[in-house]
Amino acid sequence: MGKSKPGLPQGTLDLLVLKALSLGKMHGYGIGQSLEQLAEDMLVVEEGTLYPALYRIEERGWIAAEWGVSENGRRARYYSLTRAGRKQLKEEEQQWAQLSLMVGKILGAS
Amino acid sequence: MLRRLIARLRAWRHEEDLFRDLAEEREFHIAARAAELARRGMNAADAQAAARRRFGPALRQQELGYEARGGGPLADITADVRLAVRILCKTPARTAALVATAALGIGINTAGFSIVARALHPLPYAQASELVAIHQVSKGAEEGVSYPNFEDWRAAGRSFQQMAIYAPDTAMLTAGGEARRITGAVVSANLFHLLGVTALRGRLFADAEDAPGSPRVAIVSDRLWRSALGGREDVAGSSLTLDGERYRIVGVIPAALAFPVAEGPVDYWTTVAVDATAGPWGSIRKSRGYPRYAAAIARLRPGVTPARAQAEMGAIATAVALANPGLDLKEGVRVAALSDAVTGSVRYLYRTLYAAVFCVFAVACANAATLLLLGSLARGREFALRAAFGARPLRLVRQSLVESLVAALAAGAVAIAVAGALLSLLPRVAPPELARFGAAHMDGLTLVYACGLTILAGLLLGALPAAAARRQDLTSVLKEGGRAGARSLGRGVRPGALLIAAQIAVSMVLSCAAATLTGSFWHILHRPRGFDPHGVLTATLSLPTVSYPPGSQKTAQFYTRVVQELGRSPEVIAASAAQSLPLSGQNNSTRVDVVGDAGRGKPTAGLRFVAPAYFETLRIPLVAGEYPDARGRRGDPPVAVVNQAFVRRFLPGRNPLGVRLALGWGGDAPKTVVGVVGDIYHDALSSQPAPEVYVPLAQFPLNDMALLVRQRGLAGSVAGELRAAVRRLDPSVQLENVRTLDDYLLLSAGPQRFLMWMLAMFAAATLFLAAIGLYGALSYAAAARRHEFGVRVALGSNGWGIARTVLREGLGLALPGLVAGLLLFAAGGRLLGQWLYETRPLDLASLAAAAALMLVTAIAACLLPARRAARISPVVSLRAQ
Repeated sequence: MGKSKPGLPQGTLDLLVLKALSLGKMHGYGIGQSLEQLAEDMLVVEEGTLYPALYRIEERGWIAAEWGVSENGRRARYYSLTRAGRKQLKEEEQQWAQLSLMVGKILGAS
Repeated sequence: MLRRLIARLRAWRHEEDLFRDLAEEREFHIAARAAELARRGMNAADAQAAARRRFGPALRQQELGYEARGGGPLADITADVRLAVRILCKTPARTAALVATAALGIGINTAGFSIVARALHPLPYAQASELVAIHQVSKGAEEGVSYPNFEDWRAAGRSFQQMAIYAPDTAMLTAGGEARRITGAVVSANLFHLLGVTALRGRLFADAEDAPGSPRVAIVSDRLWRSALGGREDVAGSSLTLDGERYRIVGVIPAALAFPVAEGPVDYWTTVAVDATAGPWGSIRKSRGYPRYAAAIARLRPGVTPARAQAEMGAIATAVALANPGLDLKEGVRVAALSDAVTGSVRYLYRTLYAAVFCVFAVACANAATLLLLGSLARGREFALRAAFGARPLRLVRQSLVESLVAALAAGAVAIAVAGALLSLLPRVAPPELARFGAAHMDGLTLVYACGLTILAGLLLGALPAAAARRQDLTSVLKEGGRAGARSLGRGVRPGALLIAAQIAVSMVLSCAAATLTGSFWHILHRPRGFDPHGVLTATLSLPTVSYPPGSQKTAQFYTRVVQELGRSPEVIAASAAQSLPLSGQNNSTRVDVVGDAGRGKPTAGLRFVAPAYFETLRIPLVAGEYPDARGRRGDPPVAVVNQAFVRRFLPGRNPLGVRLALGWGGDAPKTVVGVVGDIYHDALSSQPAPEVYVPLAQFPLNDMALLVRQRGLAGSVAGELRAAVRRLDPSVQLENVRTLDDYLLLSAGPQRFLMWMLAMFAAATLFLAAIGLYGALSYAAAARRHEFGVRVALGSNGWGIARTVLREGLGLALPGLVAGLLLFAAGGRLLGQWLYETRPLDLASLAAAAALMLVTAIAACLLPARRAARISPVVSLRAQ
């Protein structure tokens, strides 16, 4: 836990949530966990930012929520990507790739 | 967009589900996190706490999720409304007081609006803005118009399409064996054409029906047609019996278009032909000096302004005056828009009343706001905690506003009923001058006004509690150990203190107005008038001209005999008869020439026809010469008596006895002055005695007269004997208006009295509200400081010391309010000027009385809380902590 953890640029969490959900439907806790695993513990997802992000994305119609039963048998709220969400993810992935390429080029200049 | 709307509607319908979902999701997350932590070796309880801590403030999250899922304003407001209703129902007494107070304010104001809107309503005639009233003016006051003047004006006036003339009239209607007095008007035949009125049945008057000698014709209102005339289809051509004369009905017009407008119901109209019948003294229509008609009415040509018509009429009046040197027409004529002429005299009254109802509204709102504010202060802890747990300030403000709006809406519903009740009650208490009150009712416009006022009240009520809700901060509330607002009114509860002081100030303004009007009214009733009106019973009668020819011996004898009959009763001190009784509002005036005094202006004087013993009956003192009783019999040379004002004005420095007067009306032969009597104030509201000439009735017998009886004991108890005496002489003669001169005195000051009562009622209502407000606020503050008082008592302070603290606090609110009210009244009291009679708007005695009343009320309001505080037991108050 001693590693420094970079703060996410504004709006990036939305992309990450969409990405996580592209792997299958998940509840909020699961999304946080899988993002932390995918980031290999370089990221800590705070509930205080995760849930507002979820509500925000749900409001935009990119994800949908339904009640399901969790692995340990509790009622949990599962989120899944909608078709619009899938399209959004694709667009944002492309944008992110371009952005990181551009930032990389500028930072790589000697 | 659609999705959002659906989400919003769903959230609105299933709001509680939404909160449950959010909570359940949160709990699931925390449980999952706790399980994870426990797997890593933390004990269960610690894991649970850590997970919860990590999740962060639940409320903030919940609000975010709530809004994202459609729980926006729509659902919020529903929730707020539900909460507001719950809160209001939890304190039913406070809420009832709140709603009743606000309803009173809104209701009274709405009724006031309805009256003002109705009174200032445009006249019901086509192109009413073209209509003007033309009055003759004398000494700045509007007078009637004589027929010859009218004829000259009509012939010369170029500004007008048409000009008509009218005189209000009353007549005894005999129909179906019953007789009753109805109100009508004598009009020129073109009046209804000029006004643009069309007949419902039959026709309007034809121009030829003005001509002297044309048959007697009448138009009736549809109201009279339906009631007394049975609504028969063939009404046109049937006959109508007025004062024993038969008239042929030619048409029916809607009562709503009746003219004149300002009076009460007007039900019949006859043409000026009735005035052309030459009596023993010539035709009224040829008498230029007799202003028989109330006013001329004209319709301006398109594009002509009243000001231009005024300029033209001024020139015409001068020309008429030059052509008739006998006339006193220097002051000319006044042309005014008819709508102004109708409402002008009472417009001030409406304005004053409207200002007063706004004062009531303001006090009621302030009072209700105080109640709300105290309630929200008591809930200060709740607000502070909610704020601390993440409720946004705006939501708390909104909830406060919703609460006040809900209360205001309830009040508005009650207020509409209150206004309706007031409006149906008003015509019964309003004097006849304000007959248009009767037309006011709850119409669409009034309802819209009531709704607007309700919302305004809601916002006004909520503004302060909302501001207070915003300012709550947790630390100060919690520092007080949860005791809501344990502080003195002066410091902590400033908005509440301001509200109380404002209520007292506004109530003070109304009290000052009511006190000043009362002072003026008392003056009207009790000023010396030059005669003794108390204990005099009067009645009017109208001898039918068919059986009592005007001016005949028989007519003269009738009065002599009635007076003799009455004099026999042991209860009667003196009895007489006269035309135009003092205080009755009737006033005859005439042009007077002092014979041999050529070249002097032709003055007008009040003209009274009196039977013997008139002066004794009214106790008017004889100053010189003799009463006209002995020398004024029928057949004697004509005599007259004048008053001192007449001598001062027209015969200064001369011996009035023996002077001969030629009167414009009342017989052609000059009359010799045989006596001088004391001055009287003939009109109830006149500010100085007018010159008057008294002519013996025997020498000029009139059919319309009044009887007067001064009696022993209670005025009015000889009414039966009065009726009996008249019945013995002629059972066909109807006695009317049987009332005392004191009754007339009250009636004559009708608008003043009405305004006085209204303002007194408003003042009493606001005084009561202000006192309740003061009492409530003090009780609240005293209760909040119970702990402090307990400590003081425990430390040896006596009850009086504590009572003094409370009293000082109460008077600290009342006195600034009182002074502010006095200053406000000093600034705005001029509004009353129109209604004050020989009383200045800033009448010190009245203001002192109002201030004293307010002070006593304020002290009374303080006493109970002070006494309660003084009796505090230290044990109980300390244990209450």
